[in-house]
Amino acid sequence: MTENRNCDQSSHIFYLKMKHQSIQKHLSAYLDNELAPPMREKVDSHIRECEECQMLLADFKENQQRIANLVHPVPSMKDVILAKIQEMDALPRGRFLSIFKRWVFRPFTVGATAFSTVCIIVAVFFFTYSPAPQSDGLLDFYFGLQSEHADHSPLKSNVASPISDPPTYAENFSEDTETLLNLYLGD
Amino acid sequence: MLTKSLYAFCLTVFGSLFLLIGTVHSDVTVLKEIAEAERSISYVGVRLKIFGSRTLEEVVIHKSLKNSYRKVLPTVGGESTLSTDHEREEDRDTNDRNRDRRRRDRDFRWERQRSQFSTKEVELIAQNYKIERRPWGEKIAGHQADLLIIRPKYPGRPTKHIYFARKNSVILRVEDFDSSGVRRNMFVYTRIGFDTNAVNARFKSIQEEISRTPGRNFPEITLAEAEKILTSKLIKPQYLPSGFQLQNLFKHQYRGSHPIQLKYTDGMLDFNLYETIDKGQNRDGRNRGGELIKIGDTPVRKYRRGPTHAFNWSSSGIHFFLSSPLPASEMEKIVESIIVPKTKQK
Repeated sequence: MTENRNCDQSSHIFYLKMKHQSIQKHLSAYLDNELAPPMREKVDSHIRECEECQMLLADFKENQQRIANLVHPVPSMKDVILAKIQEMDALPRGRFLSIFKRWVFRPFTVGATAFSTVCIIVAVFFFTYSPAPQSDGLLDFYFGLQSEHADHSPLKSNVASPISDPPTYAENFSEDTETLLNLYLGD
Repeated sequence: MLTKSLYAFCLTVFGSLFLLIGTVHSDVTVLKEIAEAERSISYVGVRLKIFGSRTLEEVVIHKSLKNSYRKVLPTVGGESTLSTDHEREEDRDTNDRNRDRRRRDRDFRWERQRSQFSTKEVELIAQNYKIERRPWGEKIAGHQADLLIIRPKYPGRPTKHIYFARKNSVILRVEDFDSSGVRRNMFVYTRIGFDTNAVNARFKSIQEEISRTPGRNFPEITLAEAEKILTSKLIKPQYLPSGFQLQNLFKHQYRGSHPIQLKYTDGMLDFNLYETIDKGQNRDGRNRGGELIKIGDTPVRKYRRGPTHAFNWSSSGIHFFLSSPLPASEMEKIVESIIVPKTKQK
């Protein structure tokens, strides 16, 4: 009889222990209010009876409070910039320069500056470059061709006008002759 | 008696006519033979060239019309004279010095000769010039030579004396006289050989050097192609000096533009009209020198470089450049006929 009573008692203890463990698994969900009402009632009734679970729940709550305290609000972009400006204003000049230098020599800054420069050069070239030949070069080109045609064939001549004809404009004649002779030989 | 006199008169006339035809024919034939010799005979030689006050020596290898090359020989001490002339060099900026160096480098490399000796040109010379053959008999570079004198029929044109080898008609010496009879340019061979094997061997030895020579190509084009490039009708001068006619159209390339060259010739003398789409080439600020004249309402810039006169202007969306050794007055008439055509004048 005593043995039977002992056996019933031990089985009840086992049952309670199992229930206790099962409830403990749900304590976090209970605290976060994520349990279905029947389960929540079961946990409620167990906590009222179980001192250990009450303590565990209290620990969970304390942790939750600590975690909540760890989260700090994200400032807006405006706040960040204003704060940075205020900070830079407050800094001595040397420190400001060193920050500026650090910013200038950042790979991104250097790359962006180089890219912008190239874009500007390309844009300027594109808007100002005209495929039209430059007059000076074009004159040399045409005069060169004229001399060349005459120079290549012994049957051709390029000396119709007498040399005594005055040049039609005041330019150094000997220099012109030199240019033409160079073209004669060169081109 | 009357019959005998009539026969004598007729015989004299026919005889004179035959002599005249024979003389003229033979002289034109000589010119044709000279042209033919350039096409068929190979030679290698050294010639002295004189332009005004400048003298130089050239080596010429002529295998055929397509394979004809020349190279200026450096004068002994010429390079060092140029490089030690510090005072002159210092006055120039670097660009000028570089340009001169490039020109000097160009001087001493092989250059292809693009002589044409076309039948058409020979015919035009025969048409516009008086051709006279004179037996000469003197030797040039060891070869007995004869002389062919080409005199103009029209004023303002040059005269040419061609001395050629009696045995094969190859040109040995050429003298150019301006319209006032002053000798301006000449060349004369000091050494020349016609041995085909020697020419071939010499040509082979310079082939590698020749292949490095940058070639310039001016393709001949048709009228339709020219108008396609210009995107408008090609404008031709309504006035042409006596004896001139359009010979060829060429397409050139210069810094992204494609000037069309209209080559007019009287056989010996050329004038060239270049037309390209006007992209502001004639803006006054960008022109170097030149005298500004007005033909019609169009401002025209007039230049002279050595023997060459040139006119530069823009009208009807086309930029024109006219160049020739013709007298400036003749060229002004050509310009006028383009700017103010007769249909407009009326």
